[in-house]
Amino acid sequence: MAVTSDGTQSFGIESSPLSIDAVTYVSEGLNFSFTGQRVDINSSDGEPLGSTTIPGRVECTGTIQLATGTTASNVRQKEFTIAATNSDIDGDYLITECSEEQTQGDYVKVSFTAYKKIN
Amino acid sequence: MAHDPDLVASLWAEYKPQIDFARKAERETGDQAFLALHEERIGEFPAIQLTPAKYLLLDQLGCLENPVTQTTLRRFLWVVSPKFRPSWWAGKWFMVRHWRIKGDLIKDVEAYLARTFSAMPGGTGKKESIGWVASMVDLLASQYGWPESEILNCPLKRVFQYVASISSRITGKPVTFSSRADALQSEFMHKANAGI
Repeated sequence: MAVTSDGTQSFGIESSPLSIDAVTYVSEGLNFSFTGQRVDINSSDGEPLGSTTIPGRVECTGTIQLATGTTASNVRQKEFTIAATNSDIDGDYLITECSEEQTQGDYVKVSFTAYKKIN
Repeated sequence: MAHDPDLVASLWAEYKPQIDFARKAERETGDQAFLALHEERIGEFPAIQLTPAKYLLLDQLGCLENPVTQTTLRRFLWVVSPKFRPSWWAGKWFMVRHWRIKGDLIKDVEAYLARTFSAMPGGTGKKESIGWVASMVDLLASQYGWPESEILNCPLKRVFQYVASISSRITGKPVTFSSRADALQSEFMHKANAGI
């Protein structure tokens, strides 16, 4: 029997440098989800006839520590690239939303959500 | 501003093990806060783990303001002393007994505060009308149902970890700080972006 990922499998990267607009940042707690959708086909009586799965986008959440005094904390719609060894997560990502900046002492961080661009 | 992938990679290879080590050490320090096996010390003076109640008392007594004077330094050491009790005579006796305390203890006080606040959750930097102690009491009381006195007398090192855990559970996207690891990451970014 073939095993199909249910779309909730996640991989974590504790911290890693990433580049946005030619500025190097450090990302933390990157988590990836390989989303998917199940499509069911039923008879007119409602009995299941078959199902199939459609792979969705690779979604990514994490935190970015901002380089002091270099850029604005709003990283929404910025792109970054991940070049890890895991070919499933490697690629260009677009940040869809980010949090208000959080500060402690000299350090500034924002959390974000991104997805892997198709092309 | 420069972004040389080879430089970034070689710098990261240098910094990554240090950052991982700093995070591991910070996690272990956080765990130790629940056991209280290690006695806190400020120079030669034994000290308790700072609690929100003691923090507020230090603040009220002006012990957290600059410049630090010999009087505020002695008050600080008395308030965090394991022998502290709210007695005028006991306080007077401590102050007289340690009248020769020197200013070189200030750096030990700063280190004690830095150890306590290293895992403090970040803020937005806005001036809120509600103090952070009240916010933490509200958060822990509403989440765990703890009475106010229990929260005010819980070591701050534990309080900060509970707050981070609650934040992680509620928001799903926690922003956490780790003073040593953040300093290393900041240093890495500075070098990577300056092309050093």
